[in-house]
Amino acid sequence: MKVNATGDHPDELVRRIQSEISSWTPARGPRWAELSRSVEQRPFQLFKVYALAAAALAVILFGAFLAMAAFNVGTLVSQPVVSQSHLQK
Amino acid sequence: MEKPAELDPATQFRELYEREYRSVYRTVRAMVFDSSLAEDLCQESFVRAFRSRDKYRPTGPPGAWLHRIAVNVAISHLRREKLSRVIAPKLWMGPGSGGYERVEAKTLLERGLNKLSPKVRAAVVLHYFHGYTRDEVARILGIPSGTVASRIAKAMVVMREELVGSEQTAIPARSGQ
Repeated sequence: MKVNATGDHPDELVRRIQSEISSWTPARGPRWAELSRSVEQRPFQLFKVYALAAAALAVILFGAFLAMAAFNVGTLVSQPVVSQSHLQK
Repeated sequence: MEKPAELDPATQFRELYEREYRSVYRTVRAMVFDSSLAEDLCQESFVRAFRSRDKYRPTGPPGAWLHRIAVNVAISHLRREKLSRVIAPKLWMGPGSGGYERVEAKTLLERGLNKLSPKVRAAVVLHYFHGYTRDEVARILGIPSGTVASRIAKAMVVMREELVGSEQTAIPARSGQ
C-alpha cells in the first residue's frame, strides 16, 4: 500500500494545486471607489526628479564656465606665452 | 460551458476589474504568500492597468495582460523588499518585528510552492490553475516558451518531492501519538 496520495497519480498534485488555490479568496474584494481615487492621484515620477536635477547641474556648470571665462578665472585665463626664440640666436 | 465574452479594457474596465480581480489576486498571492499584501498589490496592478488601458492591444486575452502587469508589480515589490532587507535591516524595524521576514508557508502546498522562485510560482499558478497555455504564460512572464515548459516541469518535480517528504514525515508523527 502506498503511503501517500501525492505520489500515486500524476494529476493528484495538479488537483491539489487547483483545490488549494481556489480556497484563496480576497478578504476585501474589488474596491472600485478606492481604485478611482488612486487613479486621480498623480503618481510620483522619480524620473522627473532625476531629469530636473540633471538639468540644474548642467545650468550650474555652464554658468560657472561662462563666469570663469568672462572674469579670466582659473584655467580659462589666457596664459602668457613666454617666447624663448631670442635665446636661440 | 460557454466562455464569457472578452471585455475591452479601454471601455469596460470596471467590469473587467470586477471579473478578473479574484483571478489576479490568486496569482499575486502565490507569489507573495500574504493575503493582505496580495490584495494591496492586486489593487496597485489594476490602478496601473487603468492608467495604461489605452495601450492594451488585443494580441491576447485581457486577463493575460492584467496578469502580466500584476506579475511585474509583485516582482518589483519583492525586489524592493529584498533591497531594503540588504540596505537597512534595522533602520526602522526593531529586531523580531517581522516586517521583512519571509512569510511562513502555512499549508503543505504552500511549503511546496515556497521551494520555488516567485516567477516559477506564478508560472505554476497561471498554467495549472488559470489554464493559460505555455505560450501565454511565456508572454505574461516575458520569458521564452521553452523556458516556461522546463521550469514548470522542474517545479512540479520539486513540489512533488516536498509534498511526499512532508507527508512521509507527518505520518509517523501522527501514528506515534
